[in-house]
Amino acid sequence: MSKLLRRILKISVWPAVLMIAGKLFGIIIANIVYKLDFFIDNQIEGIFSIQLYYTDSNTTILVNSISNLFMIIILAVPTIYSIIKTAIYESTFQNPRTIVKVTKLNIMNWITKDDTSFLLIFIWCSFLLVASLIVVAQTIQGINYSWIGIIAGVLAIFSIWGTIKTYEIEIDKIYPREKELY
Amino acid sequence: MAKQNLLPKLFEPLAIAVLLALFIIPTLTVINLSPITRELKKTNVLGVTDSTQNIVVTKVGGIHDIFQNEELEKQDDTEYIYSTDIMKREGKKAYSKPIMTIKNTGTTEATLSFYGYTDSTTKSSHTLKIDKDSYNLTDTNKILLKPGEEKVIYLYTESQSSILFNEKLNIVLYL
Repeated sequence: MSKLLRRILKISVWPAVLMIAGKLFGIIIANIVYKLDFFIDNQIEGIFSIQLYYTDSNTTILVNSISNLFMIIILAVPTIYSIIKTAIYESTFQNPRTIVKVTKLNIMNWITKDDTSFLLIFIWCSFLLVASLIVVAQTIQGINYSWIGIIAGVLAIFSIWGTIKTYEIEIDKIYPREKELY
Repeated sequence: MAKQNLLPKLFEPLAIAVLLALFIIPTLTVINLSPITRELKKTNVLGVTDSTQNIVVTKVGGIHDIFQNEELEKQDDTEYIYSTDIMKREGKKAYSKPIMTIKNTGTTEATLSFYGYTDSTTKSSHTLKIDKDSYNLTDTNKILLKPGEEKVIYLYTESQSSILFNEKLNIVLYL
């Protein structure tokens, strides 16, 4: 088994677990905070055999929206952190001002070790993109609040942009831009 | 010749399948965890849907000298109220009329319970007759309906002395 595949598998476990955990945690929180009654039913039709349901459509939308919000936040926070960290790390090589700002903000540990790679950001962004697309699709179907759908849409665009930007940074390491050399 | 270790190569397709599963399983789980709206089924402790939905109650209706203004109202899925005005009548005489039909359209046995009350305190006896059995309306009674069985309910009233005013009778049926 190749090292790359092994590394991808290792990185993919956490976002996969957090995606499910975020959704589940959101449902539990919504049920506790709003003191809701939910029902679990088994059905023999469709793909899924077990389905969670509520008797009121407003409650369904509320629980779905809160759980979706939790899910995308849980995925977005580490993704955004990795992208910002990589951007700052790369910026310190080219711009001394960044080092001064980083020192002032007391986040020197962000740039002392390059433990974020393109692969890590790419996988986290992929999971964030999948989660965001599910939320956007559910917003179009009318089972999610529109403002959460907008947030998910923005995050989907951001995750694509973040992946491209990190890819550019990685490419620049191998093939530096001409204007910076001459 | 040195032995070539084939194990890593054999595991590679499996690892790709695991990687795909890592993307597909959370996606399907999140879609499945999204709640839906549905009416709550009335189920018993064994998870079997009760046959209450499968009992059809219908009013017989018609014209009668003593039993008039008959009404059958469905309160909810499990409760019906039958009401009628019992007109003034002679004593020591019995009057009866078919008032309702009940049919079990399900595939399991169904139980129906009922009781009745009037708005007066006469010593009239009001009973329901189903087949050969009589049920006093002052008590809560139960009828068992076999799958596909249909029964006609007769209202029967009798009093020793003449009743010189109209009475309102209500019968509550629980499915």
